[in-house]
Amino acid sequence: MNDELERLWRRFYALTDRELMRQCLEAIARLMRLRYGGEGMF
Amino acid sequence: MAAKGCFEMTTLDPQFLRAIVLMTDFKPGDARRVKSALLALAVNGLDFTAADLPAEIANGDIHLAGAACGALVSERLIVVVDRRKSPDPKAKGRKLNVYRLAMGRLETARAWFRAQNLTPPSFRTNQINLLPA
Repeated sequence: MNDELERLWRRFYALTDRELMRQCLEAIARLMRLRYGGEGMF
Repeated sequence: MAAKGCFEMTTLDPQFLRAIVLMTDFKPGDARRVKSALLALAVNGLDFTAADLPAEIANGDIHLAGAACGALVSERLIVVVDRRKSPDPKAKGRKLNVYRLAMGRLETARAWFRAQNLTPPSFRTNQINLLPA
């Protein structure tokens, strides 16, 4: 999962389009939510 | 008053600056990640607010994105260019600052990324990465 997270961050920093960057941040957020145990994270 | 040519103090509230320092010291990884993501938006010429960053990226700390914006303002990397209603219904129309890369600070922003041991993003190119330098 860390590899996937790192891949997504690399992708984020390679993007220049606002909408694509937003979508990538959302994907990172979903993965981090899974990683930190969903609802319990907050 | 600072002498001409000397560093001018930021106009941010001292208590807010204290909160920024606390977050940077006690959550260095989260603070770095959030600041990097926001500065990447700025370096790409995009206007943004603290709400553009999902809370999960700050490990659920909803205050960290705002503090990160304050930190970047105090570093004079970004400036406030507008105010916009928060997209969060719970904020009840509260306005957020809209930020943009400060004029003439692109190279400083790149230096900021290098200082984090990250390859600095290029401006509007596809040659951006954040691999360790």
